[in-house]
Amino acid sequence: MLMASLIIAAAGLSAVLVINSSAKQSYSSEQQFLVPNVTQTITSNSSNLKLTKQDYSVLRVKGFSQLIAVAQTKQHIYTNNQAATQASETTKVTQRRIDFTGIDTFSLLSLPDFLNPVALSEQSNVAAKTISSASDDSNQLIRQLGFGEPIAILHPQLLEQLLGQLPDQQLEPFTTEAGTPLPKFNTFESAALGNDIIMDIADLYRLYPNAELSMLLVVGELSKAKQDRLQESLPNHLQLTNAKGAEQDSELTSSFHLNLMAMALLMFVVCLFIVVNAVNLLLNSRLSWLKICRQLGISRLQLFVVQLLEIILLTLLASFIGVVLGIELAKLASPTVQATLENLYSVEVGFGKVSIIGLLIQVSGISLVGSICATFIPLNKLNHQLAQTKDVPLSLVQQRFWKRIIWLSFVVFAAAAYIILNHAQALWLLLIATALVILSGCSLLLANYPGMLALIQRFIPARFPLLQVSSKQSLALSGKTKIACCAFFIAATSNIGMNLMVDSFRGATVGWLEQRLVADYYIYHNGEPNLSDLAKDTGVNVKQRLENTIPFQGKQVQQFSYPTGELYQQAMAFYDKSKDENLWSEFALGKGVLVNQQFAFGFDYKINDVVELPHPATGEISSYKILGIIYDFGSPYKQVLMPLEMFDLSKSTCCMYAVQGAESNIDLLREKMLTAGLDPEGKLLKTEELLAISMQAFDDTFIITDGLNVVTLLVAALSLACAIIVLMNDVRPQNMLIRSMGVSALKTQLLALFQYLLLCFVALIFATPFGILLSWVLINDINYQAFSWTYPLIISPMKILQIYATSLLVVTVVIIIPIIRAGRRPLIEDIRWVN
Amino acid sequence: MGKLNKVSRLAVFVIVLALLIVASRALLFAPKSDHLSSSDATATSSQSFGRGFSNTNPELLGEVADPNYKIRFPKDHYSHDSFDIEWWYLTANLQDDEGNVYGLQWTLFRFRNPNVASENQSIASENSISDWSNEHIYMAHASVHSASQHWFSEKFARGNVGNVGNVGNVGVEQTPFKLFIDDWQWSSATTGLLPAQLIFNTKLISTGEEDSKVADHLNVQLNLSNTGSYVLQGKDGYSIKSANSKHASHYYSAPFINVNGTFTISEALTNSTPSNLEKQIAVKGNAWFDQEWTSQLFDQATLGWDWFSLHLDNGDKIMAFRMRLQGQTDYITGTYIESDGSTTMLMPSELELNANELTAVGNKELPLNWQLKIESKGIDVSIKATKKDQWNPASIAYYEGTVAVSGTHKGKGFLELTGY
Amino acid sequence: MLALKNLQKSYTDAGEKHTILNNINLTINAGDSISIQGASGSGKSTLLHLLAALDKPDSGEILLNSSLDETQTENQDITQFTERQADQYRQFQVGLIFQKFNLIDCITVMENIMLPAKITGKVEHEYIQELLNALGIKSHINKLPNQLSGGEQQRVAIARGLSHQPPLLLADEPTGNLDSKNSDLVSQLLVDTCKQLNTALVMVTHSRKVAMLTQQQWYLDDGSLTRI
Repeated sequence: MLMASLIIAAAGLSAVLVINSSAKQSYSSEQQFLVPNVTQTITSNSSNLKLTKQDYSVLRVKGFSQLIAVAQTKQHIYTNNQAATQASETTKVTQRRIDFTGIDTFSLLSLPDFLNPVALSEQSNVAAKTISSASDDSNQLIRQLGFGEPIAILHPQLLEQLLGQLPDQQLEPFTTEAGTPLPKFNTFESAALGNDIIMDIADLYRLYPNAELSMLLVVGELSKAKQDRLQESLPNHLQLTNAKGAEQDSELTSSFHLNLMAMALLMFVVCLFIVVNAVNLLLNSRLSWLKICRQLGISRLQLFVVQLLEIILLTLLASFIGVVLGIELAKLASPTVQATLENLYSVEVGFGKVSIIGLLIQVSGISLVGSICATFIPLNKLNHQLAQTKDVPLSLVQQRFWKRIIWLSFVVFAAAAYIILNHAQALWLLLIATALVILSGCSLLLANYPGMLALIQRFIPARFPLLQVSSKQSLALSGKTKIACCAFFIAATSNIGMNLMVDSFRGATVGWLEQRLVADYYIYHNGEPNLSDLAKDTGVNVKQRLENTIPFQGKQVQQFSYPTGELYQQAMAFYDKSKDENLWSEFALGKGVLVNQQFAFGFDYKINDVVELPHPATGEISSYKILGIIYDFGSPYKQVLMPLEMFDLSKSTCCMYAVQGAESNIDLLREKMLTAGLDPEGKLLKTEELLAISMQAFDDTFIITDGLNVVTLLVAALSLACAIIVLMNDVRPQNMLIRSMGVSALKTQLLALFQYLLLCFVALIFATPFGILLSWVLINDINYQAFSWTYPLIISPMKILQIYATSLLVVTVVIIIPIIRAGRRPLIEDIRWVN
Repeated sequence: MGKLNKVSRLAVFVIVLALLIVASRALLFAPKSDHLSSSDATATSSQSFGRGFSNTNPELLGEVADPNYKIRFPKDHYSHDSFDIEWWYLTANLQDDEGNVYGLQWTLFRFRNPNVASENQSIASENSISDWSNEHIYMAHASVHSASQHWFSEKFARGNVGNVGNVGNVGVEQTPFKLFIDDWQWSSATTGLLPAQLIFNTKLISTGEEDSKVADHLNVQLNLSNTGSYVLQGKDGYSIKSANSKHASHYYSAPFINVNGTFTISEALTNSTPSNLEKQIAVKGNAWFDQEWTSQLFDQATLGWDWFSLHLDNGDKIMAFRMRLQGQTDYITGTYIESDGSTTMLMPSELELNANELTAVGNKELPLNWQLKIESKGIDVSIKATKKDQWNPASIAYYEGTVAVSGTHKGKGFLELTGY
Repeated sequence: MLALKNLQKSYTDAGEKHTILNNINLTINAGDSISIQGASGSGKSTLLHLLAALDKPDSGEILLNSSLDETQTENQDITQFTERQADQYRQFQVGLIFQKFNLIDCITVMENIMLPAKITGKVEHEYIQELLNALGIKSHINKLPNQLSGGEQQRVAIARGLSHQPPLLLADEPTGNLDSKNSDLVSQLLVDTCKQLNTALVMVTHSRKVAMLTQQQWYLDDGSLTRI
């Protein structure tokens, strides 16, 4: 058990460290798609006018040879179906579409810094120096991409995944859906490479003619003069932005990483609880042998040193195994993590490089510190046992003293938590506050266990004498299993807290979506044709959402249109709104705006504050009153809503349409869409379907959290089980006595179970308010600070009862094993053992 | 003691289990890139899209030079897309007001990859804007030598993107002639090649000095004007390069070009960015322009060639060419161009061209000292490279540099050595 | 009455068979006061365990007849009891006192004493008071066991063993852990109380002095039980 828990702790910690560092490496990597030193990018800011090849060549001819074109497309990979009757039949290999990227390698190779020609007479000097930088490796690759046979570059881990997804380990070449073979795969380890396959742009267009020219990379620094000239030369539909958006991304993603780290540390701490108990068990089982050693004259110090050395060796071994397992775990989890990060935060996530030695040192160090600390408690107990000192119960004075200490701890933790929660904004401080809340709960639990148990005892009827005895034994047990009970409390509190948080989030999301999605159908379509025009004679009512991106206080903010009709007024879900009855008329007149929570909290605005914003059509800066703050769950963007009438279709993009009408009219629209070459099945979504898809995505996201909750509970139950096993010998005489009074083995087992479940039940009662508090902190503090939005906390009694049932069930399942084992022993054995 | 053994046994079990898990994953999922590459190579070679610079497949050879073809201008200044290789080649011997001499070379190469052409036709999408390649690849070299410094740049581009090519309609409309690759431009005011303005920029690769913190960008603006006639090399522009006539090209020169222009040395890589470290140098001199197109120059037998363009002080010009072939004697041809533009084709028997010695440049031994004898014209001259290291360290590297002529006649010119 | 007939019990240690009880015969009538002496390891406790249906002999019978159990009309062989029957037997028919660990630490003296009575449902407060008086522990009823001396604890154990009014009390070295003064006191109290309540007492002891207090003294040696 000791090894297992150390390995689990080390594996969990390593996995999280690897995931976090890999992701962070790719953000901070200055390479984009293997192109080094990318300082800026040029992209289209209009959905009507896209970046074209002509834009690119015109700019290059004007002298901007630092621009490198990049085209992208997301595609599945297929393989030729050997069993197919037709040659072109292919089977899909990937579950998640791969990000195919094409780079204009010819232009890249034209950069003088890239090819770096060296005069012949100086070449021997250069050759003498060792060239071993990563950039040289990627330069070689670019050369190969440009001049050699067509190749595609991907991270070795991605290739591993692809090969693993081939049916029956076939080695057919990978192809497009049409069956065209993909270029030969070359692997390259780069932190920047994740779910990406990089190839020359010409190859990309050959395979996927509909790929989008997504951006022009600006390689190297531009002088101020040159940058100005570039800005002037850019046509209206193109914009130049800094590539250092990685800084902004890292803010968003740091909360994700912090969350992961916090979970790993929590798991680590809980594993340490198990270590304490496992070491206790270990030493307990060796007690007789250790006593003989003492009799033979070996000092206690020598014995402790030996035991400690053993623990250290086991920890190092477990760390090594744990690191290896953790890396594999990280690899397993990386597609999910990558997908989550890329979808949530629009960042590129690579596989990253792992320094095994560094990781080993880190994890071993932490594990060693943890396990040495965890060993001190059992060693202390052993010390008493070897010194033959009786485990004298604390005197009344001593009891009062310890009770005071516990109450003091509660006050200190609670006060510290309160101060931080009300005054701090940094995420890490808030996490500490969360930990303090939990610790204060632990203290409160420990201080009140006796009182609570005594209260419960009063409710046990006199006709159940054994239950009464059992509950009193529970009280005695509570004193001996403080650590295990605290572990269970922590697990239960976090369970309740997380579950309530997720449930509240889910409830809020469902309610919000149901309110906001008032139309019958929604269409997601970017570019031509404009669906409002298309829908003209069909009898459906189409409202398009026009979108701009505007700069505001150094950040990019979404400026969206919102219809002002009665239906849409009812649909709006407000977090807070102006008391003014003319809210909507003011909005319609363009005097005021609605902002989402992210905007309000992020920029520190309240209702009736005035903001300076550009007009959606003219761009003229004017003052607008904030009329309402709306809910916008899950969005990482700050948003301003203005009336649809203020927008100009030629200036704004439109990707979303709300459609209302009878089914027959909708059918007409479907036909028109088909005629226009649009796929109604993919683009036209019924509101119910949309809701279902959204909630499915929601549930999928929180599967990991649910899993982790169960794991934490399991670990806590295991910890309790260990504590019980250690205590079994202590309670053996008592159980023997009760059995000798004619109480059946089954009954004594049930009574034992009752004792422990009673402890857990009390812990659950205390965990409930703290869990609710934790939930509140997570929603209103942490979520607020991390994402600038929040939602109402919904406390569901059914949910809490469910958690009670689950927790008690998990504990029962785990501790029933040692109890049954003890119960199976013949009474005569116990009597002989005791006497 | 029994308990201790139990613990150790458990530890061993866990370790073995863990190692088994890891080993099995490694075995199952080891990237089979070797295996993959061999099978994949088979798959891709049937529709290979290699961007090779030469076509070695005789079945896909481009148009072959035709001895009966008549070169006409301005039509033949433009690109001959059905031929595999083509270049527009300018070399210039320049000097500034202080008497410093410079050697300048600017070349645009076009290569045709026949595999691409056939494939593109079968799968090219209707939306031709998305197609990022056609059968043509372009390469350009810019090289400027001063006594101690060498600026050199290389550019690549593909046809059908729009940043390289040859603009101007042949025949019907009067669009002015232009050659360009990115912002390197040869632009003429007329449909003809000359007069023209050549603008390009290049980067310092060798200073010959310890101090590397010098302004390293050179911007070149030249005005080129033709003071003589175009010269058709070989027989009316049909130039044979080997005894068995298997290597031949269409080739003409413009050896009577007058040059004046400006070198601007600065820190910024731009056509016109004033900077504190900007230095302007006025230059003038002579230039020689070649345009050649062929599908028969590169094959298994070609080892390389040595080419000379000489401006004699008396106004005459000489082009001498030695083709080195595997298993054959070197084939030497040339053209003697009088100052009035009349030409004499020189067959191998009519001229002698020999390297006097080999000079070590870097890790190569190069013939930088030649003797040329044209008995019929009374030419017995020594041709020596004016600077040792005039090697162009390009993707395809070669020697291109200024030479001085001495002996029966004096002059200057350019020497090109390939295949060393 | 409990009749032991031809009891045989042996155990195997390192392949060697040791016979502890060899053809034991004994009759216990209501109110009998019996002590069994013997050297350490002679099998006295084993015999007691058989009487308590905690263990089973290799062969022989232990017949429980109606004179001890008014509800039964015919003899029952307790060696053939199922576990449930054995539990029932111990609950209603037998009281057990051990050498140590007789009391549950976390409940008071009174709760300890009352426990068997509450389990059987046979709570008679007058009877309990009589027990308390007889054993002189009335002043301790609200204390916890660890607040009592060794002798006081054993007295409480006796009360607990008798609180459910069992026909038979089995005591395994009840004074083994006590000093001689307390030993005398406790053993005397044990015998007198059983006599007073007409409870049959079978006491295992290695002390001759204690054994002398009972009506019948038996000696177990080399597997054989002989009356002294």
